[in-house]
Amino acid sequence: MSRGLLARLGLYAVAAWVAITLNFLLPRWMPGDPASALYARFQGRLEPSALDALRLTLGISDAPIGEQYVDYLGQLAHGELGTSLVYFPSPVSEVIAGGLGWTLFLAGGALIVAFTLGSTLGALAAWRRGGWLDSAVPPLLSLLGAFPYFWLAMAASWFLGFHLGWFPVRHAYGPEVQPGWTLAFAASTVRHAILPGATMVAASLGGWVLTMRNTMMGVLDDEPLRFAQARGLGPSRIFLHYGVRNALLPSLTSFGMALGFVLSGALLTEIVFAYPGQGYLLLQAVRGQDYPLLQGLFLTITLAVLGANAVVDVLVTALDPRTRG
Amino acid sequence: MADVLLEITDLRVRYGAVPAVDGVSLTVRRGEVLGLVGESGSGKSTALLGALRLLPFPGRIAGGQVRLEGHDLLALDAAGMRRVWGERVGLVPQGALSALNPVLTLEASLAETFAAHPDVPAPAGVSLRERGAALLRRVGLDPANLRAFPHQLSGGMRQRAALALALALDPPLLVLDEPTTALDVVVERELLRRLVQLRDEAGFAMVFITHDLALLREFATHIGVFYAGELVEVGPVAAFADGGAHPYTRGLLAALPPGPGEDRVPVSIPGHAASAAAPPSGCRFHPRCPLATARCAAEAPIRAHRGPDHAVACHAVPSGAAR
Repeated sequence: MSRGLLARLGLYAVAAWVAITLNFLLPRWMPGDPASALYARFQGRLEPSALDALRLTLGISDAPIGEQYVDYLGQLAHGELGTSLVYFPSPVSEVIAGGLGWTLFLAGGALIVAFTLGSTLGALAAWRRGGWLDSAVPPLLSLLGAFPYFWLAMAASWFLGFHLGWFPVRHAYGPEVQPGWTLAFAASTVRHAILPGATMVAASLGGWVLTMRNTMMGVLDDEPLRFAQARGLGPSRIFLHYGVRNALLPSLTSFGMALGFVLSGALLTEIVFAYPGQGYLLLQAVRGQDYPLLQGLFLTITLAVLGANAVVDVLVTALDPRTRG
Repeated sequence: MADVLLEITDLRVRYGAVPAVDGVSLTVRRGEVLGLVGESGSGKSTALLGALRLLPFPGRIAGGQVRLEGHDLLALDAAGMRRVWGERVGLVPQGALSALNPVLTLEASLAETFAAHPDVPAPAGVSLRERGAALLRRVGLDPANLRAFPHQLSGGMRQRAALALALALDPPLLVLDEPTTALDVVVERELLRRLVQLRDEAGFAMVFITHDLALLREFATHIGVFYAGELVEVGPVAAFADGGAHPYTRGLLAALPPGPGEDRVPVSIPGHAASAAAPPSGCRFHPRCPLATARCAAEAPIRAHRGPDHAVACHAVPSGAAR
């Protein structure tokens, strides 16, 4: 591993530490605390002495801030993020773990499909410049992406789910199956993911197609390509090793960013299709003033973005010799 | 003639609907060095890239004939053309400094070039690495550079690497599109010396496209002068020793800085270069020509022979009897 890459990863470690620390400080700078919020929710049905018990349960202390910080880091190291209020008394880590899997499955899957399909279509459109694929697909997909997403999702849900009855319209799996490593459960999750996944792919596909098409167009006009042609290289070799290989690098960086944001959940998708992912949790946490859950979600999202970027950096370094110095 | 290598007849090239090359004819014989000069946009690169069917989008050939070693290039199918590229003609493209694939080492670039021409047998008992090393040595590069990526090489080294790739399959014709434009004078001289040496060894013919008429006078065997999409004068280098015949050629030479021992002041050609897209009436050079008459504005001159191999398109230049 090169020095440059190590320095890059070091920078990510610093960024992660800053994020973790801010996550610790922000709620302590804010007025009020989760215990008071929870206490208020019960609207006088709790004894005032219960407030102290709540504070104790939620780990809110009046200890010096330095001591609290050390405790916080220690708990974080054990994956302890506190107790959720909305899903009381489940620990935040458990709540997030539940949403994380569904989000990774739905939004991650949709992203991979959209990126792969979009980049392939974009590359082919640029390769056959002015052909039918190039003339029809980018404008059509841009049109599709121009609809407000919630409208697109609701329209698909109504037409394909309700009117035609092809796909289930809500939840991550049907009531007839028990969660577990069974074929029936897997089939049910896939069936439930198709409609929300397809709307996500439809909304984002145009962007991937256009990005790839435009970079590829630049690469195809470039000198290396002409030189390859003048040396008699075959079209498939030129398409893959000169076109796609060099046009993919900028798209890959965008993919990394998008991958990081997958964990913030597809909020609108998860609301329209009542899908129990991260976005749904985020909404619940905001509605219920669930500070510990919010904090946990923010931390997960931040670390995911950083992690995904670090992975892409390593990948780009491996794929592009110019970044190796 | 048997020794004719490349013969372009009345070639017309358009970019979309815009004409860029208008009826260019030229011949390259084995062992010749044909230098093509002209201002930017005069069509010198476009004519050659068009003839070799390497035009960038949206360029296309609108008419004419191209024969390379007797084969009609414009009638060749894609597979046939791919064999011509690299095997029968090598191209060092304009901007050769950025023409190498940035993610491939020189060895990988050479390997894919060899692999694209399985019909050209490798010398028996020679490994790919030895074949690559020999090529790099021929163009004056250290074989250690086989493992280098393009960005690790200097401009002059990249230019030589591109030359090595163009010569990988020993083509009888090498086309160099402004190979020295981005190089400093010292590197340029080294490259030219190397090219002359390579030509003497391998015996290939060269088409050398440049802005530098002075350079061509010492390096080329033949010179062609482009103006606004037309070849206005072409002939052996000796015909240019006294300044050429066409008023444009004479203007170009008069605009050069004087050499050592020369006592004259450089004079620029008045006006701006005409465009092949919207050429002036009659002779395309007449608005800038000191010899222009009413006939020049009305009637386009036909290229006429003035001596053996020497042809000029100008009403003011008397044509010779020789053909």
